[in-house]
Formats: sequence, structure tokens, C-alpha cells
Amino acid sequence: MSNAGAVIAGALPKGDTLGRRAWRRFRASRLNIICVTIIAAYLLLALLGYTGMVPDFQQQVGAKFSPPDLHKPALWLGTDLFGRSILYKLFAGAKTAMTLGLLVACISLPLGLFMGAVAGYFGGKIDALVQWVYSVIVSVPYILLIIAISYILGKGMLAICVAMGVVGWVGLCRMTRAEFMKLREREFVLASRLLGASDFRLIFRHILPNVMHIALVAASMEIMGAIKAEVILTFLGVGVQDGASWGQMISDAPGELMIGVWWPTVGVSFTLFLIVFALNRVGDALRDALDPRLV
Amino acid sequence: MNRRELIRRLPLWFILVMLASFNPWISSCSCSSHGGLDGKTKILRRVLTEKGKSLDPHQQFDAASADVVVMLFDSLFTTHYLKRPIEFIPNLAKSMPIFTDAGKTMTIKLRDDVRFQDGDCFQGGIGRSFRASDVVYSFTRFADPFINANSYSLIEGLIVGLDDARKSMNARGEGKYSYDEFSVDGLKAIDDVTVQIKLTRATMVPLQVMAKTIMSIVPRECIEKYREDFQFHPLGTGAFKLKYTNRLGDVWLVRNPNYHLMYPSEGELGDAEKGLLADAGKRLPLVDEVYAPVIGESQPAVLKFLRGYFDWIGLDADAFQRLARKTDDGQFHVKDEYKDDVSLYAAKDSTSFWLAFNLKNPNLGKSLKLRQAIAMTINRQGFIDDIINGRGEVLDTVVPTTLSSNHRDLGFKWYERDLSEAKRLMKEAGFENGSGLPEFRYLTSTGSMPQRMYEFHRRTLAEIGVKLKMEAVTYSSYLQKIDSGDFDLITAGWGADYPDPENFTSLLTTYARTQGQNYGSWSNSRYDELSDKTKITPPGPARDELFKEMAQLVRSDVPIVPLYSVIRVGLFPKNWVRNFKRDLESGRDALHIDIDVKRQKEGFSL
Amino acid sequence: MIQYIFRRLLQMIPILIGVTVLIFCLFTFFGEDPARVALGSHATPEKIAALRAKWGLDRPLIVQYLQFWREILTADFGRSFVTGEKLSSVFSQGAFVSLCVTLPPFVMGTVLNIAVAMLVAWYRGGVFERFMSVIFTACMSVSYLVYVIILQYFLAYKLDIFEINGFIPGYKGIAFLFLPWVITMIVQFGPDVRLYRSILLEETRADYVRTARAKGLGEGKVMFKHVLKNAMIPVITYTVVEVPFLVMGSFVLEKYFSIPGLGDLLVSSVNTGDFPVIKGVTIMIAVAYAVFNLITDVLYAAVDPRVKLS
Repeated sequence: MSNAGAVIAGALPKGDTLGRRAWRRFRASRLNIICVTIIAAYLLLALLGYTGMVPDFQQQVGAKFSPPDLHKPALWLGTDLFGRSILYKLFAGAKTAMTLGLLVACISLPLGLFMGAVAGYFGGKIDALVQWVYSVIVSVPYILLIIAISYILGKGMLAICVAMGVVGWVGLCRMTRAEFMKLREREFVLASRLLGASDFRLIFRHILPNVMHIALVAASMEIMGAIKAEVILTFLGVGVQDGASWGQMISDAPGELMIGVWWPTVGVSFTLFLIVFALNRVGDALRDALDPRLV
Repeated sequence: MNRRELIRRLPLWFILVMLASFNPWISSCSCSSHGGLDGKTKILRRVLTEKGKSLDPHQQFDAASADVVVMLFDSLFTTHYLKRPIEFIPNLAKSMPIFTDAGKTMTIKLRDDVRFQDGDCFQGGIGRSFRASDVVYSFTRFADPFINANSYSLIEGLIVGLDDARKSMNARGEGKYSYDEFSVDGLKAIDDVTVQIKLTRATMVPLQVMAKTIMSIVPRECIEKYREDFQFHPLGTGAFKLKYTNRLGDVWLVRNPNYHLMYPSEGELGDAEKGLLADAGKRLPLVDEVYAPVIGESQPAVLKFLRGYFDWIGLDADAFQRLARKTDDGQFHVKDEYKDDVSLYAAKDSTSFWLAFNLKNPNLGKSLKLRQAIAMTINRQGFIDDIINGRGEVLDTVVPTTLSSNHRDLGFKWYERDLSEAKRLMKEAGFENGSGLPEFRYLTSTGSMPQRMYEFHRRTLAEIGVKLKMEAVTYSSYLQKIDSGDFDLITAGWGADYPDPENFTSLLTTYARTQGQNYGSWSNSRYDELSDKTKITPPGPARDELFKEMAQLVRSDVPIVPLYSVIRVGLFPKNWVRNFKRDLESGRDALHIDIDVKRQKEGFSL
Repeated sequence: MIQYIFRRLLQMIPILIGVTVLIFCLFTFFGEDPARVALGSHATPEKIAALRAKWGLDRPLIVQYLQFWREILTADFGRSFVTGEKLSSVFSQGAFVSLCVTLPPFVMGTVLNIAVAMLVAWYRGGVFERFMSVIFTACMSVSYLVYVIILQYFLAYKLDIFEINGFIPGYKGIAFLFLPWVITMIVQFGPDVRLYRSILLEETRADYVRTARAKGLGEGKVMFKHVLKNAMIPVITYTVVEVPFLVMGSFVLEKYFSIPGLGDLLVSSVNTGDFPVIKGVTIMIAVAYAVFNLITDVLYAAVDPRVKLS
């Protein structure tokens, strides 16, 4: 953020950068800190899932559909049709969801930043081309594109990740483009250009750091959107097929509710709610904290 | 009006324009609400679980369509509503056919008192009488390759000259011919009430197929008027007439007052005590209207049923768990809290499932011991109990228990579940505890039920170290993978096209491989030979011997593991629905059901 | 102005070309094979080939693509592969049904959410704002599907307030729509209030507001006369662009409540490879999207004298 600091340095006391200031503003609300902790906890859970330290959700821990029992950790949230622990399933689902969210962000963020940067910086024909591509994408119903693209890769987890990544860059691209168009006329860019900096250097060294705050907010929204979309896609039969996923648990919920088995529904709804809430909240707080107009 | 004003009123304008543009449609539809029971009209309200492919009898070949088509159209024959096992009876025919010429000529006398439903495709809007020429017309249309892509194969090669007609229609191209141009030798109207059908060999299959909805009789005038839209204006001789339908497949039917059939006067032992014969001799149908919306999700359907919005509902696994239970004696009961309001039916369906091995897989194909070990591990009763709440019967051959020559009739037994023997076989095959065996791909379509089935098999096979991996793919790639043999294990199922065991046993022949039915590509020349013999042997001990030898061949080579046949369970209100005896063979329940409108309006006491 | 509109309409053409190529490629090369799906599991290759020929899927790709354009220009997409119905009537009925579900809560929700956002903006900087921001973030964070399942179970079944499921055209059908309306409004609440609040807050920071306050105008007058009026511009921009998607409806609601709208139609068509339906709906949405974007821009210029259409 040091570059951004330099631009509006006049507005800030000495030694206080925009980044530090944003952080101070961000931590002012205790809820924000809690939310960051929640996200970290989910990420940790996902990591542990990969190292195999989370108990296998496939094992049978009790009778079929046994209600929550506080005496044994595996039974805290009861069991499902096969006597599997709902808690372990949620853990395994966290691994799936976080992986999915991060993968989607990993695909869509660089794509969006790059397309937006190129379009905004060069303008002209390149800009027209990028604009055309994203106009086409937003003109087609989102769900249709996701399903169609995931069909190409044969459904399943990886397929929907790629699909959401390939479609999800549009919003970020639009914002990055607008920001680049503004910044490329700024003095510090013009000065560097006069000093002989290449386009590549200008884009990546000088302007890009100034739009990173947009990317940060977009990332949290992208991850959140992906986690929510997985639920819907799984309900439609194109989501995660094998293994644990929250979407699958929610799809099973109507049948379970009907026979009075409420614990999987409550468990998964709350787990899903927590992470989405945290990401939402952090995204919002970041946006407010990083908004240079509020300095 | 200044600019701001304009903006402020915009939403209002927008709504007005939108409403105005759709107005014609609003006013054109004046269907009454389904909740509106007036206490006089007898409305049977039932749930359909999916939309059928078409209401044109010759285009459809799926259970969902047949459910509705059977209420709108009639075939020459049908099956008895009350009697089990299946007994064929005449419908549009006056009597059962007379076979001459060593069983190769079928002479069918037709009823002379049947009229088509009224409709604007007839002169003056009054339905005309049904004649023998309608049979010839309908059966020729049944053979039209551009109308019927699916079900013709059931009688392929059986009626003299019909195959040739189908071929020349195909050669002429769609819509470039009229059916009169093809005079089929085997299909003749002798006079207005007599049809003669010549068969290529002595067989009962055409008679059985003629009892199904796919060979229903349609009126030529309406086909010619509506052409490809006939499915949206279906009209036949059936007990009901279509009043309303929509894209989701919801249908609303009204009674055909001129329907020709009467309520049967005899039934099975015990039917009289149950009051199923009280309406004997009454003209069908007994209700005035049938309202049948499609509700794909089971939860809303069940919730609505419990509110008293439906008079009949089938149960899936979750709904069963909620509303019913199975006792140790194998009987199904509705749960006690609903006992006073709701009755339960359980009917055996002619549908069977089995696990097929893809013999192209090097391990599965080469190692008989591996296949036997798997066959001894699969827990079939456990599967039925856990996955489908006991709504099934273990099968030892592919033939469901509703049909003759099933495993009980033959006294035939499949492998018992025996883990230690299975483990020994695994060791002999060189795969002790699964070592050296790759994961097998279990192919399935997506959905919650297939997922549960896979999960069950994964667990049981893990006991001998066989690892399964689920491959859930889109429907068309599922079909494609089956065709190209791109899988290792699959659960295959079959519903009877006609009630004959041969319909099931022939699925494992080499010929069935070319038809995309023998998924695992098993091929055994002795089995093929026996299968051909069963087609020409009349039912009896000699035929049973053939079936038994075929079953032995399957047992010794284990290309498949027979799993179970299905029992359908459903509910209906005890106090106002009468004459209900689930008839899965012909599906004509709605014609026979009677409703006590007063009690129906009162609803449940729940 | 007329010239501007004309030019914008011309600009739609490359986008439409892009959309057609995208859809065409995706579904011709990768989508479900409609013939295979229609024929089920016991189809021989000959049967499949015959059906494909009947639907013209065996013609050269370029001919099929040009056929697509002919269908667009004549606005006649033929018949559905799956049901054989004429698509013109399927679309108009489906669009009407979808609008029945989405439009009323959209209008009511927008008005209500602006009011809530006004309240939040009025009490900005206080406990109320912080409390509300937690509430609407929470509302946004519950999965759509969870809303549908839980609300249907409790409100419709347990408490018996609403009809459980179903759809009937005509006035009597309104009873069936209440629950979908409620769900739509709840789902809309979070994102809408958040957006409107930020728009309103932005306006309160504008110079003219400072001027208005400086000249001694009461806070109420400032909010209603100045802030709200000016905020209507971005609010309208946001809402008008949403309209095309209202026509498509909500496939989750439609699937769950058995409502025969366009959203459910589109999703099920993807699964059955019903290409004519996919083509028709996508083009309809794409055109509507472009047209409503244009309307927004024209409105923008009409309302805001600073904006010039060029």
C-alpha cells in the first residue's frame, strides 16, 4: 500500500500509511476480529483435513439417525442415515467448501485483475475486446453458464470450481478497469513513464498495487459466493458428487426434516451461516477500511 | 410532467405494461381451483412424481406418461383390476382373441358400443363410434418410425408385414406418406367389428403388448387435425377427457359419461370382505374428475397429503420412514398416529434390479473367483432393509416375484452371504484383502438415492477389501458410458414390458448386448440357445426347466448379482377413498376408485 | 438522443453474436445429447441417428448456426425437443408465471428496503446502524435453499399460514404465491439494504448536502428533499437492470414449489439437452439485458443534467 500512501500522503500524518490506518479502522469493531478468527478456524480445519488429522467422516460412530449426545464428541451433532457423525461430516464439508472457495478465487482474481488492468491501461481496441467478452458473459444467465461449463469437465468439484472461476472474474475486471483508467493519467504514472518505465513495469509495479484493495474485497466476496453457489449447484445435481459437502447435506434436509431428524439441518445451516457471515462481514469491513475517500 | 415525475411513475407504468401484455393469457385460462371441493363433484386428487414424455400413446414409453395415458385412451385388452396374478381381459375387444392356424392367426371381435370422446376434430363435435379400421390405423401408426422411436421393438418381427411398412415409411421420410398407402398383410379389418392379425410365429407377446398403453387406439380425424400437436389435445375412448394441462405435466381430467366398461363383479379371495366388490356392475369411472399435479420433491407432496389435499400418494424412502413401518412378519403398516385416518397399500411391482459386472474389466472379466467373492459379500437383505426401508424382496434370478417361473417357482437359490468363504475366494484369486486390486468404478446417475445405494455397496465390499469409487455423471454420458462399457460395476434395473419372465431372462443374451441392455457384455452360447427356446415354448414345466438351466448358468458364471424386486407402498385416506387396490400392471386405479365427497370435504381428524 | 439510441442498438449486435457463438459452442459440443436423453437407456445407434436427423442436428455446424440466427430474427425457435410444444407459447406462459412470482416482491421489497435503508442512514454512526448492519449481513448469509426448506416446513406446514406448494393460474392462485413472495423478499432484504444504505450515505457526504445544511435546512428536509431524490438515480440504475432477470424467475423457488416458470424450464432444459429452449431463453435474456441497460442510460441522462449521451 506504500504507493497509495504516497499519492495522498498530504492527508496523512507522518509515518502513518493508508494500510496501517485501514487496519486500525478495521480492528475498531470487535465483530470484525471475531469474523477473521472464524475464517482462520475454517481454513485451519480445511488444512487439517488435508493432513488427515480430522477423523474420517465415513466411519460409523453410532446408530442410524441418533440424536445429538453431548457425552461423546462424535455424537455432539448426532448421526446420519449410515450412523456417520454429522460433526465429522461438517468438518469434511469445511475442507470441501474452503478448497472450492480458494480455488475459485485463485482462478477468477488473477483473471479479473489482468483483464481489467490490460483493458484499463491500454484502452482502445484491447479495451473494446475485453468489454465485449464481459458483456457477453453477463448477458447469459449465470446458472446456465456454470452448468454448461461444468458439463464440459464432467461435473464434480473441480468442474464447478473452474466454471465459477471462469465466469466470476467479470465484476473484478470491471472495477479494476475503471480504476486503471483513472490511475493511468495520474502524475506518478506519467512521471514514471517519462523516466522510461515499460508498460509492463507501469502496470504491475506502479498501478496494480493501488488497486489491490479492490482485489482483497473481491476475494472475500468471491469465496463467499462460491460456497453459497455450491449448495445450489449440488441441489441441482451438478455439484460435489463423492465425498462430504454442505450442499449435499442441505439437499438431504427436506427428507430428514420430514422424519423429525432436525440435527443435520441445523448443524449444516449454522456451519454454513457462520463462514458466509464472516466472509461477508470481513469483505464489508475491508471495503470501508480501505476506501480512500473516507480518509 | 417533468422528468422527475416521469421517473417516479415508472414502476407503475412498467407493471401496467407487463400486465397488459400478458392479459390474453390470463383471460384464456379459467380453470377452477383444485382446493375448491364443492361437496358434490367427486374429485380424485393424486400426485404424479414426474412429467411424462408425451400424452400421445404411441410416442410414450415411460411409466409417468402411461399413468395418464391409461386414463385417456383404451387398448384392445387390459388386465383385471382385482385379480392377482395378472389376468388378461378384453377392453375394446369384445372377447379374448381366437387363435387359429397353429396359433399364428389372431381373430379379435371388437365392441360395437364404444364411442370416441366428443371433440372438435369430429363432425359436429360429437365423437364417432369405434370401428375395426381404427385398430388398423392405430397399429400402423404405432409402427411409424417418426412417431414411435422407442416401443416398436416389443413387437418387431412378430406381425406379418408390419416391419416392412415401418421400413418403407422410414425410407419415404417424415410426413411424406399417409398410413393408407401401406397395406399390411398381417393387419386386416374383416368387417367393422372384426380384426385379423397374422403373426410370424405362435406367440403370446403381441396379445400382451396390445394390453399396454403403447398400443392404444387413437381416432384418425384428431391425428389428422392436430398432427404433431395431438399430444396436447389427446382424445381417445378413455374413461376421462383432458381438461387442462401445463408445462409441468399437471393434468386435470373430467369423466367420459359414455365410457363402456363396468366395475368387475368378481375378484380375489377376500376382496368381497374388504368391500372391493360393492360397486360391481357400475359404469366406470366412478369419480367425476381427476386432478393430478406433478410434485417432484417428496417433502411437499407428503405435507400436502397430511393436510388432506390428496387422495392417494406413493411413498419414497424418506416419506415411508415418516409415515409407515414394516413389522417383523414382513407386513407394512401405517404409523399408529395416522392409523385412524390413513390406509396403506403395498403392491409388488414387476421391476427387478441386479448388479452387473463389466466383464471387459481385466480383473472382473478374468477372475470368476473375484466375482463369486463379491456375490457372496453383497448383503441383499441388508440393502433392502437399510436403503429402501424393506420395500423389496430378495431375488435369486432376474425375474421379479410377480411373474411366473420366478426363483421360488423354480426352487432356485443364489449364493448365501458368506464372508469367510468370500475372503477365501479372494485369497485364491490372488487378491487377499484386496491387495493388487485397483479401485472399481461404480457408475451411477446423480441424486440422493443413487448416492445412498453406492454408499451401501462401498461399505459392504470394503469388508473383503474391494474398493469402490463412485462415478456420478450427467444422464447422457451415463448412457454413453454404459454403451461404451466405460465402467466396472453398475446397478441395472428393468421394468416388465409385458408380464412374461422371458422379458427379463433375455436381457442377458448376446443379442441384448447389441440392444444396449446387457450392460456387462456377458455372452454364453448355451444361454442364448435356451433363451430362444423359451420364446416358443408355452408356459409349463418344460419351460420352467429351461429357465432353471439358464439360472444355473448365471449362477456358475456370475456375470451379475441379482438384488431385489420392488414393492410399491403408498397411502390413501381411509374414510373417503373406496375400491382402492393398487393395480401396477394396468394402472387403471383412477377408473375404479370411488370417493365419499362429504367425508373428503371434512378432511382428516389429525 | 435518437442517434444515441440507434448507435447503442447497433452495439448490441456484436454482443449478440458473442452470446450466440458461446451458447452454440457450449451446447453443441459439450451439452447433453438430446436424442440420447430422449431415447433412454435402450437406444441403438441407428435410433439415435434417426432422431438427430429429425431435429437437424446432423447438418453441418455452420448451417445449424445460421439456422440459429434465422430463429432469432424471426423470433421463432420452433418446438421443444423434449415435449414437442411450440416454444412461443411456452415462453410467454413461462415468463408470465415467473413474473407472477418475482415482480410483486421485487416492487414491494424495493420500496420497503429503501425505507429501511433511509432509517439506517438517518441513524448513521450509532448503535442502530451497527445493529442493522449485523442483521442484514446475517440475512444475506443464510443459504437460499435453507430459507426455502425451513420456511416451507415451518410457515406452511407447521404453522399452516401458507399453501405448501403448487401453482394455479388466475386469481385463485395468489394464495400459492404468498410464501414464494415472502422468501424472495427476505432473500432480497440483505443485499438491497446494504446497497441502498451505501448509496444514501454517499449522498449525505456530497457537497450540496453540506450546503443545504449550512443554509440551515432541517435534517428531515435534507434527507427527503435532497438525499433521497438524488439517491434515486443510482437506485433506479440498479433496479432497472435487474428486471430482465425477473423474467427468468428463480429456479430454486420454481423447482421447490412446482411453479411452471422460465427458470425451472431453463435448468431442466440444460439437463435434457433441450437446445431450442436454451437458445430461446438465453437470447431473450440477452436482448432484454441490453435493452434495459440502454433504458437505464437514457433515464440517467434524462434525470441528471450533468450526463450527456454521446
